[in-house]
Parts: sequence; structure tokens; C-alpha cells
Amino acid sequence: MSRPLFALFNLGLILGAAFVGMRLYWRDHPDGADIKGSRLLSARVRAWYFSNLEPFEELLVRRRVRPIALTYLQVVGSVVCAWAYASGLIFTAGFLVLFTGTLDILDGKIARRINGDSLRGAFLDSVMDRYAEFVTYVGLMVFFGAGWRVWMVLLAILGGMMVSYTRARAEGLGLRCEIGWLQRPERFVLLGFGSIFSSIAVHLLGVGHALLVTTIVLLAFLSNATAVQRIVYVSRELARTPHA
Amino acid sequence: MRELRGKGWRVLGYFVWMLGAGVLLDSDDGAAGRLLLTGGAALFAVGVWQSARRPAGDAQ
Repeated sequence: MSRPLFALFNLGLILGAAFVGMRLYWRDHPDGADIKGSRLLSARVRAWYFSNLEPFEELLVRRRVRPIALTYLQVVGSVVCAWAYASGLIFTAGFLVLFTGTLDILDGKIARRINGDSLRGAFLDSVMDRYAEFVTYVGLMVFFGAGWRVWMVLLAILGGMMVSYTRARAEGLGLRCEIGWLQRPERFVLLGFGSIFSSIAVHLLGVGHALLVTTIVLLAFLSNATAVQRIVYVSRELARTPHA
Repeated sequence: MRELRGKGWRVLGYFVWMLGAGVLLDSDDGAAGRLLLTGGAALFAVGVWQSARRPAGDAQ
């Protein structure tokens, strides 16, 4: 059933809450925070989003919830998200992408607060992230069924894995490599909001999921471009070092 | 900490509302969607009420 008015109301709620929330936060914190930003997600936007997670961070630290529990919950959430994509529940799936991405942020924040960055936790977190991302894309592949769009999803999977692999390999060689357009937070924000706005567009305009397809194409190309950015950067840095 | 008063409930309410909106927009399961929307709105209202409430010892 098409619900254009309800879709329009929720579009206003999403955009309005973000606009008002950010304005109020920036008014109270004009100096910003000591957070690293990127081209797509600036430090100020990240600081505002993190501020919304503070009550949950406090609660989870007080309850001594282990960060790894949130990591596993993120994987379970990604499986549910994949099921939602496969069932054509695109708004819900987009919402779950944002939710599981938020869990990924929270587990890191809690780990830093309760026991520092443990090596075991960091390792399990990055491995589980890859599984969570892969499972989500599998749901999208089932939704698209066949054709070139499935190839785009496969390209997005490859890009996501390569972005992670290039960083891990560079760190193994003693280099920091946190550069590029689409790191994990940018990817889940793009996929999450792309899915939600696509579902709203279906109700408002009565068209297919063109916005979701556009999002996947963007993810496919930009994530691989990010991997290439990292390959070039690491190659240059290694060429500069005398022992390379 | 004053800044965080009620914020968790407001954010949780917003999340639950959006989940309900998703259920209502994606499927024809109106009952589950409306239940989540109502729950989300109620949680948000609790958050607003907690934020507006003057903390003990802050009386003028």
C-alpha cells in the first residue's frame, strides 16, 4: 500500500531532526571536538552523532557490558538486515544498516573506556565487521536477483574488503593508512540513508528503487577508488623509505 | 551530566519511531508498525519530560 503523506512526514522528521539537532549541538559546542573527520562526514557532524550516543555509552560502561558483546550483536543485526533486504523491506533494512553501524562505533568507544584498546578486541572487531558487511550485501544480492545490479553489489563487496585489506597490510608494514573517500562509517551512512530515502521515494513518486541502485553504483565505484587511493599512497610511502 | 538528562530516552524514542515507520512503509502490517510508532512517541515524550524537569537542589 502506498503511503505518500506518511513517507513525506518521516522524510521531514529525518531531515528536521538532523538539522535542529546539529544546530543546537553546534551552538553549545562552537569549538567542535577533537575528532577526525572526512570529506563526506565532517568532524562536526561526527561529533554531533557521537553526542547522541553518550547516554548509551554511559549506561553500557556502568553496566560493565563487554564491547565484544556489541560486536556479536552487530553481526546478528546484520543477518536480520540481510533478511530485510532479501524480503524487500528496504526502509527497515536501511535503518538496521545505520543501527549496526552505530553498534560498531559504540563497541570501540566502550573498549577505549573500560580496558583500553585490547589487541584481541581490535582483531575480533575488524574481522566481525567484514562478516557483517558481507552478510548485508548478500541480502541486497538476493533482493536484486539477477542482472548488472548484482555485479554492482559484488563490486561493492570487493571494494569494501579491499579498503580494509589495504589498511591492514599497510599497518603490517608499519604504515598508518586511514585515508580515502569511503571508509566504513561513510559506507554504512551512504547505504543506510540511500535505502531509507529510496523507500520514501517509492511511496512519494511511485517509482522503483532507483535511488537504492544509484547508491549501490556509488558504493561500488567509490569504495574501489578508495582502495586505489590507499594502494597509491602506500606504494609512494614505501618507495620513500630507504629499506623498501 | 545535566546535558544528558532525558537524551537517551529521546534518542531511543526516535529510533523506535523510525523502526515503526519502516515497518509501516515496507509492509502492510499496520498493527506492529502503529505499536512501534506509539512506543517511540511515548519514549520521546518521557525524554522531553525528563529534560524539562528541574533537578533536585536546583530550585530557585
